[in-house]
Amino acid sequence: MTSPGVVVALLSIVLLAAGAIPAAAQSGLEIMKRQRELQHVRDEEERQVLRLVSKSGATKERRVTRWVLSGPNDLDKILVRFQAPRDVENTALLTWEAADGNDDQWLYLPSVKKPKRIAASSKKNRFMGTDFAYEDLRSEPLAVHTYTLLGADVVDGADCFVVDAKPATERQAADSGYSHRKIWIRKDHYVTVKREFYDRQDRLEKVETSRKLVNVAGTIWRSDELEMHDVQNGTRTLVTIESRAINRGLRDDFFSEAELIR
Amino acid sequence: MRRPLLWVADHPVAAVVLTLLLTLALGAQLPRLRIDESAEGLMVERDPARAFYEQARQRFGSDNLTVVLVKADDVFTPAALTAVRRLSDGLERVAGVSRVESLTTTRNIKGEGDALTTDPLVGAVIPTAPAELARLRADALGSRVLVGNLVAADGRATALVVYADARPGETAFNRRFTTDVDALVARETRPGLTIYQVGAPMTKATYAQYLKADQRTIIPLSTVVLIVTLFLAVRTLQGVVIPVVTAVVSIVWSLGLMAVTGIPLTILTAIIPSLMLAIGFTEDVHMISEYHHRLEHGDDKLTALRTMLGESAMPILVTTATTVLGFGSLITTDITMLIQFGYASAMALTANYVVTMLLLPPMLRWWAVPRRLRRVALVDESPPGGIPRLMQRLGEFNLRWRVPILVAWGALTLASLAGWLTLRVNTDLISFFPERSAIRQRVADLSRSLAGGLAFYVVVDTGHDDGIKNPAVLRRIAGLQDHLAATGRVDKTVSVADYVRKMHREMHGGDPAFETIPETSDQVAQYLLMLEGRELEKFVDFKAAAANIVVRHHLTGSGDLSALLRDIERHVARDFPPTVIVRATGEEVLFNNASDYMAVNELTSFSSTFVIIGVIHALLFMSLKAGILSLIPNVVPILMLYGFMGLVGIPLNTSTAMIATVAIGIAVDDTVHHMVTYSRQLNELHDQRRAMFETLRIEGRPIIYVSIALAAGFLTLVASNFVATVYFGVLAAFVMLVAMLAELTLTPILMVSIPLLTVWDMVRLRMSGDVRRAPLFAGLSRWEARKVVLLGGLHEYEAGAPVIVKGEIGTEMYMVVTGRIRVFDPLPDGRERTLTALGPGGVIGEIGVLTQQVRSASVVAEARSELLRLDLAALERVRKWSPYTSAKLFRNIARMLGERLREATQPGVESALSPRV
Repeated sequence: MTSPGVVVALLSIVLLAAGAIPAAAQSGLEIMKRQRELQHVRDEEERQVLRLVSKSGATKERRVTRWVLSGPNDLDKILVRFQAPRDVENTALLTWEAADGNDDQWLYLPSVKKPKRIAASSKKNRFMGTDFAYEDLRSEPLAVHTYTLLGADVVDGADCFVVDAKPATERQAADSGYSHRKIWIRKDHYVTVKREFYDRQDRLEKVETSRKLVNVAGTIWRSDELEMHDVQNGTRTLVTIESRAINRGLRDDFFSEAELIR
Repeated sequence: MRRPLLWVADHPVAAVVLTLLLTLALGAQLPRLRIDESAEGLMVERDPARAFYEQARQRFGSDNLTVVLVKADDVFTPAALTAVRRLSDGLERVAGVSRVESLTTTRNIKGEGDALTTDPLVGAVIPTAPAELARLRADALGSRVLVGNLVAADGRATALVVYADARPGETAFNRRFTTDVDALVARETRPGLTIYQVGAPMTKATYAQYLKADQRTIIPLSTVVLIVTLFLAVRTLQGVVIPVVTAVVSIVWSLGLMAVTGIPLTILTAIIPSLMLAIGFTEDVHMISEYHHRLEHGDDKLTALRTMLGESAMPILVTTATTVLGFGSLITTDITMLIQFGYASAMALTANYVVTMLLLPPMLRWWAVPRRLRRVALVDESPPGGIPRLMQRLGEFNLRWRVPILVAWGALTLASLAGWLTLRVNTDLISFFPERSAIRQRVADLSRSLAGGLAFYVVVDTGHDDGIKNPAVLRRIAGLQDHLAATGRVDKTVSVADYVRKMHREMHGGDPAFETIPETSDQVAQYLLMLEGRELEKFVDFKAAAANIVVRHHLTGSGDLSALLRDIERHVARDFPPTVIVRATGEEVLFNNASDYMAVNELTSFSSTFVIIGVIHALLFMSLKAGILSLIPNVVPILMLYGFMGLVGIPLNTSTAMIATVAIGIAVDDTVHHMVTYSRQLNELHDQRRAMFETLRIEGRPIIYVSIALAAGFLTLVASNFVATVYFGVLAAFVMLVAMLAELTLTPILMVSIPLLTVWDMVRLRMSGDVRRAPLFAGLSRWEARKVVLLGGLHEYEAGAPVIVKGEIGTEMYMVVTGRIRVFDPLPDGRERTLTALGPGGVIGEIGVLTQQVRSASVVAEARSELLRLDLAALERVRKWSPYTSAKLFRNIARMLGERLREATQPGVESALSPRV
């Protein structure tokens, strides 16, 4: 004859146990989705100073302005225009991300009046001598990756999730230059503070660090200082954001070939 | 020097214990000896070109290049391209690799209409459709950057160019890297595909491997040869064992000293043990020969030993000193490896000298006299056998045909000087390897199939940031490339100008008319912005201040490469403004400078060694003439050798240039022994001809056996893996044999023409003040007086021995140096009327020198005396040696005769001279 107290106790234990599992851990994907929810903007404009640092410590500086228009299915439109150095002033690159992975790009060199369409540009390519590959600069394409929560870590005194991102489709695996990446996301603001990139032979290739976090608006945080360090090559690229504006209502036709020539 | 040696002979145990202790102490250091396989030591120290090279390496990455060649009927097939991709990926993973350029890593910049591609030539997926492959082929073969660089124009070969370096602290890089690459090559090789690697690491690894193989075969071989010839020379067991023991101990000392001083084992220092064997044993042969000679003459063991040591001390010190100087002179060169070799060989030779001095006397003392020599020589000499008889005939030959022999040598030498004019300096590391070797065949094949596996950089430095973006500079760079292509000596050049031209063309829809340098620097800047990346790092530096032209070629010879480099310099001087520095650099350029430098340097350091040795000999024999004479029989073979090389077309390179240094160090020792023995014989016999014969008899055997043994030893080098070493062996053997001929025919003839004295004898001579102040020596310095005494000849007389007999015809005068003589008139009844007694300085019989006179009195030695005897022949010797001294002598003799005359015409006047005899 069991007493009701015992039944209740047992039931509670069972219910608690059942509830504990979903309650305890978010999946990697869930973390990424949450990040997306919190950090996503419609459009963004950044004035950046890019400092390229060579192996021996010599530096080169460029100034660019970068505009991003978020589109459906994580497919963005990006326009980058150079302000400095003077001999490349007005050089611009327009990117329309495509669902099949073959992004459309247009290159405008002031000395060659007509923009060139760069067909089937590989995302693996590095952006104009920097340590950033095109695929590093885009927003995280959640649909084609598998995200696994690896654990937790502390970066610059803040608790972070450590999520592993691996290409989920054959296509993505072929297009990407990385076998997988690790992403550190702060538990409090869900902003990425660090990324590690592993090459096709599974060796650590690059480390990206985000610093000087600013709360732009609401839940939106950005970092004003980004460093991409190519550990294999010994080079670094430092990105400093001089000014930023979000959700200004940029028009779709701003991201067009016609705009490039202007 | 005698005293320490005699001490050793008398205290054998102490000497051996001392040697043992030192051997143990130095032997314990052996594990510290390090091996330096890198060829960095071949570069010139403090060479400004080296700093420039290091800077170029910083900017553009390493020039240490390996080409992996893939040959197929058509490389634009899935099978071949897959192999290339897999090789590419595999190579990138090899430790030390900084960059791999291949069809699968290179970018294909292509413009069609409004579109531009900047993707890799071969994408992630290897195309299989024929149309795609055809397009790929067309793109590749249409690119100036790729054709002749990564792919052959006929599409039958493609190259993967790998740049790699040793990681810090890695010592066996070349071997390890070559093995790693070979493993990858083996994995991808399949029917239809030929794959192999060629490059600097492989060459160096093969070189080191062959070197070690050589050491393993040649050292034992030459040891056996030396032992066999040793035995033939001395025909006793002790004559073989003792030199080998001293050689082995001195090798331990040498290597120990190298370990202590931090000098590593390199390609050059590795020959020191062999050198020890060769050089060390020649002295042992001379000493043991002399010792046996004494034994044969009836001396007992200890006496024979001590006499031999006493006689040998000085010549061996001189020959060791000159050989040490010869090799040691290399420390004045600027090349690390030569400097190290100079120090190491000087230390080793000195060690060998010390070891021999410490071990040889005790071993001879303890070893029983060989049975063959125990028979005491009887008074009647059995007819001389073999060599001594040959030497007798040779001596006669030399005397009889003196002039023709000299003329013959002179003519041959002059003829060979003609060859010197055509002597070329050319060190060709690749042709060091035998023609059938894999490495030579691959180098040739690579050059035929695609482009050479050798590369250097031409750095164009504008000195300011963005200087390369200037179209004028780019045009000049392109112009230099065109010029190089036109010379036909270069397989391919690649530069930033090529990339810019390609970009310009593709940005205009692929129109070939636009494959030129753009008009403005802004255009260049914008193109470079797009092109920037790993691939371009090799061709333009970070700030675009300097550009790099990578020159691929197949010139393996230093002479050819030097010619090309000079050609570049001339073009640059014409074409580039002085503000732009354009210079060729690269590991091979530095080696090239070093090779030619080394070869020439070895010869010039040899000639200064030569002069120093001449000076030392001049000091030894106190005569400039003697010094020069000692060099002639040694320089003639060397002159003839290089003349022969020039005529036949054998180039002067780092190996053949060494022959001079090695030969002079060894050959000149024989000459010193020869000349010292001659001077000693002259001292005893006072007859130049007889002295020459006697010298040949004594020195003949050692000279012949040593020369033959050395020639045989050098000939063992024919077993080497290296063509240059084979040449070295044969040519060095040739020099040894010619030197032997010169020693046997030229030296005796030259020596007969001048009297020889050694400084040693001079120092040993004791002369009292009375002698020096004698009228005969008036005006002569102490040194001159001694020389006269030695040249004239000192004769010993026992007490009571007659010196002059009245009534005889005398042709010489005498002066008392030590002792006492009595001048008397022997009376018919047997009594003696003493006229006078003379001590040191007293002179008698001076008239007899000039005119034959019947002696008017007798002279007998009262006590044991040494008398200087001067006859016309002696005066002639003095005159030949020093006319000045001779003049003073004659003046003194004239004065003395004048006194006699005065005596005769004015009797009663006090005479300054002793009674006339």
